[in-house]
Amino acid sequence: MNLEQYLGLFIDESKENLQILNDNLLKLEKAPASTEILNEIFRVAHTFKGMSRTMGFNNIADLTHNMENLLEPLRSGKKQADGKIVDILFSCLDKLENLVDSVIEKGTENKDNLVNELVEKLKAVINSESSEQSNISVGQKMEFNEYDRAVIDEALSQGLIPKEITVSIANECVLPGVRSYMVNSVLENMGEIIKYCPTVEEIESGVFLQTNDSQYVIKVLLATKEDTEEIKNKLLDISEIANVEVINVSSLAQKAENLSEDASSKIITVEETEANEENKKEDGAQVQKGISKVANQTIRVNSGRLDILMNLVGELVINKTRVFQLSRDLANHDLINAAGFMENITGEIQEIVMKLRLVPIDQVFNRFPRLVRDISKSLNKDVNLVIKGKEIEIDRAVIDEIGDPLVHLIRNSLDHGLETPEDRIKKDKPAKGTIELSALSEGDNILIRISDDGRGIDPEKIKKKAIDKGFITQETARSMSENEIFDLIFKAGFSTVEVATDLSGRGVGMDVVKSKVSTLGGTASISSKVDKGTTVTITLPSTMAIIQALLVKTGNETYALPLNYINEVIDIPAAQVKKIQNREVITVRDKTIPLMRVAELLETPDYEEDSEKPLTVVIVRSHDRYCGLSVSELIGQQEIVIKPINKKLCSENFISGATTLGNGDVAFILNINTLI
Amino acid sequence: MTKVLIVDDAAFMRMILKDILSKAGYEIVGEAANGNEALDHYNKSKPDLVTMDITMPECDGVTALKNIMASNPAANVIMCSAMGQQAMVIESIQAGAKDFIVKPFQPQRVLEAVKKLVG
Repeated sequence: MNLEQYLGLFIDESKENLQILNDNLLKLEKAPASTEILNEIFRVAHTFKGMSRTMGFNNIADLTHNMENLLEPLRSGKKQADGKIVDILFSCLDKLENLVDSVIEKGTENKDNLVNELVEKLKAVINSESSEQSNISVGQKMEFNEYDRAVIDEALSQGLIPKEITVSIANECVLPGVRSYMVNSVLENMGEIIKYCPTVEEIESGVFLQTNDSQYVIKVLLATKEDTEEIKNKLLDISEIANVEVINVSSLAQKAENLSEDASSKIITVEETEANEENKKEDGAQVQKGISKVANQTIRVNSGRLDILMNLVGELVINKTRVFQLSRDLANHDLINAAGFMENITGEIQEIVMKLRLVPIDQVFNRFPRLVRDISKSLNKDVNLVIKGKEIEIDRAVIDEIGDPLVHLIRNSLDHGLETPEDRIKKDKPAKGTIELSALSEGDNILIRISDDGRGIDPEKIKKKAIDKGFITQETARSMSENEIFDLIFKAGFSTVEVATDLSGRGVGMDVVKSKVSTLGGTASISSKVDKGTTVTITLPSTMAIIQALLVKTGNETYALPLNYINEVIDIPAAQVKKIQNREVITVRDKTIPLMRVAELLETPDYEEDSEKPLTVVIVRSHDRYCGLSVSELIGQQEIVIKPINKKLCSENFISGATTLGNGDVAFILNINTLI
Repeated sequence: MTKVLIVDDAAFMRMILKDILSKAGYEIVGEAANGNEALDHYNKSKPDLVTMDITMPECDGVTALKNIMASNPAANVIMCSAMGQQAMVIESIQAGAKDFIVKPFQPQRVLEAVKKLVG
């Protein structure tokens, strides 16, 4: 069987299951006796076992199998989960993640000795508790006591024929006990069963007769009127029955001989541990129903297909605009109506497609409780992690990318932001620190905030460091606002190890965080109060790919400006442009803001400055910073589809992408964040 | 064509079974992820055969089997179990399941069981 094709699904479900496992282990730590949680953990381990065995990932299967064994006595209440057990389960989870990761990377699981170590550990814990397992000793021969003989005589007198039936169950059968049960059910209907060898109890606990060819053999003495062939056929109708022999037993003496003569028969014990534990497991599994969450009514779609759909809808939106334009030009009333109707529908399709790509931000947030638990444990800090707004939905593309920056920020908060419990008590703060991770939607943007109530950052120290490093001069430092100062932290090369200790460690790799957020079309900022705490805010667009934009013309080039950055558009007489420190500025409502001429900035060809004409200035805003962009002419507002553009083609990152316009021309999309 | 309903909480397992069965010419008339869905589907699509996972959230396979048997005593249900669910499987057989298959599924074994029941 070619299993390659299932790999994707295996990985998807494994990830989900790992997450459930993670969540429930965290819960288990707080409520170690909850059968509900234990059942859920057990179910995940069980599902894992089944899937991974099918895929041939035996390490995962072995590990989860032993997890089940460990969970069993916990579930049945024979044992209480203690810290040690939870820790082991956590390390199992880590190992599983590890193994699944290797499956994701290479399509096969790593050969890993640590798995065996873990399995041994698990076994050790299991065995320390449940040593009451005992082997069942089985007699080699079927012996007839007084009662048996009486029954046989009775049967004979009723005209029944005692038959000795030897059933060999296929060696590859996994649950021979169940097959024996099925054999029993068939025979029960055909006559009277006088004797089993081995006994029913022995069969149930996995004990069978064994011959050279077959591991699982049972012999039954049946008093019946049925034809030998009929018995054979009925039994062979059961799956996994390899062979059936039926011998008429004419006399009791002969019978006894037949059964005992079988010299090659010997008794073996099969998986007695497993078989005995089954019974207990089953009891627990019953309790399980009704506990798990209702499965969502969802279907899985390959994200590649979604992207294609997205792109097609993008094209549709562009062409819709074109049809609408044409219908206006032709001034045909019916056509305009029809085009208007189409526009509405297209709008709805677009909205739906955008929503298809949205996933709850919980998919990123859900890994943090564990992260915080582990780090705070290792740092000996007591931390309360508050997560808010995990239901907020955000574009899938963002989800995949934002995880690492957030991990980094949370690590920083834990490591350097929060003080040790002793220090906190000295400062009259509660010994337990709080980190709050929240998401909220604000217009078209999603805000993600990571706040702590730790020691905060002293802006003066940052200033000093920035001056030392030569990022800023004494002079500029004096005129800088607090926001600008904190922004220095995001500068590449600002953070070093010694700064890290001086300044609560913030800044380690913060430039990486900032640049990651920028590539997602978002921004990051820091605010902090000494001894009160620090908040990092990340603003991200909630949907990507299709945006509202203002199209402007400069020279012969058309550019698109994302609408959510635009504050206003004004005309300003050329004479009102002033110069401060060699930079052009304009004053808008008593506010002085820098002016940039798009044509100069981007070296637009065929651009001629008309110094008489008033300037058309688009005021853009990003994170409380304003900037005026002077353009030749406004074209209008339009929805555009962002098509990625090779980064190497855009110098200074002033261009964030390109789009095709209704008339087929290509327009560049200006990256406001880098312009400002 | 013989109609089959597949019940398993893991989409992965459903896909494996679906592939095995549809390649052999069986028509998959439905999939269900828990016992409650299974009963709904059963009554809706009246399949000739049901493959029923034992361990499922919400309503497990044995309960679902009993419900199905109650609504149609002649129903053909094959239980799907993992290693080590002997007691559950026996309970299912008692309740009227016609056969069982064990994960990991061997295509040959699955088809053998299905053929025995519905040809």
